[in-house]
Formats: sequence, structure tokens, C-alpha cells
Amino acid sequence: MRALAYFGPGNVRVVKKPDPRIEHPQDVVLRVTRAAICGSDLHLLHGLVPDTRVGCTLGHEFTGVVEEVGRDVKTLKRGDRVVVPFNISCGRCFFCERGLFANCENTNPSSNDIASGVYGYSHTTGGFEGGQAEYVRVPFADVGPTRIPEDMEDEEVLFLSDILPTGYQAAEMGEIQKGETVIVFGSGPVGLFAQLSAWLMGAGRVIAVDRVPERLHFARQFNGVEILNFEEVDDPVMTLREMTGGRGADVCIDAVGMEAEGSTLERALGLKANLEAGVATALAWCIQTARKGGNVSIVGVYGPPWNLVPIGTAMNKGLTLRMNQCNVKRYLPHLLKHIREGRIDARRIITHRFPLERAPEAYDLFEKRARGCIKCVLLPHGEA
Amino acid sequence: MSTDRRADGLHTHLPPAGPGRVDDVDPTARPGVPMEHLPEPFPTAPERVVVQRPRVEVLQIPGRKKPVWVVSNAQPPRGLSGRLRRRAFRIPEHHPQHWMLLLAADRLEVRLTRAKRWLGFAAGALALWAVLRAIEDR
Repeated sequence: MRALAYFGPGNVRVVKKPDPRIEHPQDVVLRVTRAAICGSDLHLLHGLVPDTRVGCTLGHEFTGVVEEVGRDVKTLKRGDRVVVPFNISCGRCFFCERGLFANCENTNPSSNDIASGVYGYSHTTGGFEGGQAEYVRVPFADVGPTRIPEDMEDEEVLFLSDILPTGYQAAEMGEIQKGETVIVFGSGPVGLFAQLSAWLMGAGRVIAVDRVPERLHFARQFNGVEILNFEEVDDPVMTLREMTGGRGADVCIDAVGMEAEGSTLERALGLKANLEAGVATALAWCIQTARKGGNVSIVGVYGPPWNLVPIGTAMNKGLTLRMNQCNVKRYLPHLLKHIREGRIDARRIITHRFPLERAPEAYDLFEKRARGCIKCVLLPHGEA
Repeated sequence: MSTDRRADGLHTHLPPAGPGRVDDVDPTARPGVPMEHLPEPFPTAPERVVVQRPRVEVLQIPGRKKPVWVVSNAQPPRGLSGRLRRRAFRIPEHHPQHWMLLLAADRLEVRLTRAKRWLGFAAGALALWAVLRAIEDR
């Protein structure tokens, strides 16, 4: 089969690989129909995630058709169309039994601290091959994949694999009360869905912060939010405080993660000198723009071992910091209902589609945010 | 902010969402609240699980009490970078050295892969040159 593989920072190529096969009785093998490129794939592309080995296949947002079924799989059969959560979860461990599917302890041999197994996200999350390929192995098929309703298209539900539930969980962890003001840092795909979810949870005011004019324009069109381009103001924190009556926002959401812009010093320390794990500027701004006693919700991806974060400010302001990788499986039925009933049209954020062989070009476009790119989707088998 | 979404040209594509729409305003309507619920197995989770035997070397973090149930057989550690990775996996992950060694192994593997590729090209070019030279000499 063909698959998109990593060959070093800034270098991904489509290569031929052996087809995946059933390796465990609870596996299925999928023929991938749609695979999206996630903002967090860029952290891999930039070599920021430890234990990213040469030749690994990327991609953790995908839909597909079941091709092969392991002997102990009970809920899926050949030909079923499914959307697959990015986290691989057993459904039975201490954490899965408590709803923390992102923290499953039976799918990632490489780490006790860093999440469950994840498709196409380095050996730090288990080294499982990703979905930016023609075929992919899916472990614990009775737990992760969700069948796509017959009357729905793959692209309508593709983002249930990660970014839609992640954005929703971001808003949910913010514990938004009716009428509250929410600032969402980052207007990429996760940020867009966090903004939308904030409205669904009763926010009175939502402010989107980013530096890419096209993304802010899209956020305004897509979600009707107020926007702030932080490169157009002297001091984004002061500006946001002024915009929120001097006190700050009730809830701040970090939908940016480890490659934030906005601080030359932090970028030098984190990205050039590797003295911290990327850049936590967005998180610092969350802490600095939340009101005293407010909530900060973190879904932007950070890695080990550490980051410079103004934890003293957070402590002295009495902030509540909440964070996790998304427990995708918990949100699937609820968000599927929102999509079916027309409250969320996730497909609208797709701006570009590419065949698999042009995946490196898609990465380049997505990385540069060029040509109004919000979200790229790969079609490993064409339109079929 | 205006709640008349049509008036300012916003939301025309998405009438049910946006300001004023509060489907999940009640925290009990939110599926992830509370984030950690009382323990219960996922309804379709397997009752009996076979522990997968890896076909290749799979590095395990120290301190793990039992093997995980599924593993990946892709990209086992190999060569010099593999030696560094094995060394990293002798150090618990709360020590920064674990991650520094892994990052070093990543960079080394990329450079060695690139060098191997260039060596391949160079060897090919050299062979071609030698053949052409031999033909010329005849």
C-alpha cells in the first residue's frame, strides 16, 4: 500500500509499505476513505515530539471501510463504514472504566504519563501506524470505531475522530456558565469548534485570538465571534483585559499548543535552543487574561519534559486549570446528534482536498496557512 | 453582541448555532461531565483479552507492572539510534534525560538515513562513472 511517512523534520513522503494485517483478535483493518491533517501533525513534522522514528506513518483523523475482521470482534463486519477516535482504548482498564479513554493504560507501552496509544503519533504514544495511508490497522475495534449512519457521508463525521470532540471538550472543561465571556486562543480547526461549543454551552461572548487574518475572518463567518489579531496590537494581554472590562475573561481556552507565536524569547528557547518543550505563549496568555477565579482549559498539545508557564500568576489568581487529551468516545453520540440535527456543520471547515500522493503538498499548504487553508483532507482511494 | 444573526450577515449558513443558542447550557447535558465517572466497563469492551505478543522489539517504559494488551510492530529500534533509544528506556520518563536521549536518537536516525541515501547515490554515480570510463578506455 501507499502511506505518508516521516523522514525527518520538514520531510514527509509517500512511500510503499506492506499492507497492515490483523495482529490481535480484536483488530480490524480499514480501507481508509478520508484522512485529515491535524495541527498536531505539524508538531511531528517539525520534529518536536520525542521518539518519532523514520518511516512511521502519520495521521490520526480518519474514516474507513472495514476490510478484515479479527476473530474476536463482535460489533463490526466487513463493509461497515466507521469513524475512528484518535485514541486507542481498551474499554476495560482503570481509566477507560471511568470514562478517561484518552488515558487508557493498556495501549501504550512507551509511557505511563503520556496518553494512551494514538494512531500515527510517534512511539511516545505507542508507535501505531497512522491513517494517512490506504489501509490502517485498528486495535480494539469493539471499543473505538463508531459506525457511520447510512444516510451520512464520511466527511460529515470525519472530524468526530478528533478536532470536533476536542474543541467541545475544551469548552466543557472551561465549565462555561450561561452568559460568560470566553476567549479562545487559536482559530485553527480545534479553536473553531471550541468557539462553536462555547456558544452551545451558553456563552454570552466569545472572542477569537489568532494572527492569521484569513483564519480570524473565517472564525467570524463560521461562528459569529469577536476577533483579535494579536499582531495588530502592542500588547495582546492588555488589549484583551480592556476588552473584558479590565478583569479578564471567565474562561480562557488554549487551542494552540507547543508552537505558539507571539514571543520571540520563548520561540528561541523552545524551538531553536530546545531548552523547553516547544512554546507555551498561548497558555501564558490564557493565565494572564483569565479573571481571578476563572477557568483555563488546555487542549493545545504540549509534550515532555517541561515548559515555562506563569504558574505563580495562576496560583495567585485562584485559577482552575483543566486539561486532557480528548476522551473522544464519550462525545461521539452527542456530537453526532448535533451534526444530524444541523447545529454543527463540521464539513464546512474543509478548504482543501488532496489525493494521497500529494500529501506532502497538503502538509506544506497547511503548515503555511496558505491559500486560506483551514483544513486539508486526504483521499487515499480517490472519491470512492 | 447582536443575537440577530442575519442582520450582520453572520451565521447565514448555520442558523441553529451561534449566540443565543444554548443546547448544552445545562452541565448535566454535557457528555463529559464529570470527566471521571463511576467505574463501569465500556458496554462493548471485550470480556477476555489476549495479550498481543510483539513480533519485533518493543521498548517498555520502566516501572510498568504488566505488559500492555496491544502493541505496534512498526519501526522497531535499529542501529545506533536504536542503541540510544534502548538506553533512554532504561531511564524513567520523569527524568528529562529520557526525553533528551530520545530526541537525540531521532536526530541521529534522520541524519544516518540521509547519509545512507546519499551514500547510495554516490555509490551509484561512482559505479556509472567507472563503467563509462571502462567503455571509453576500450
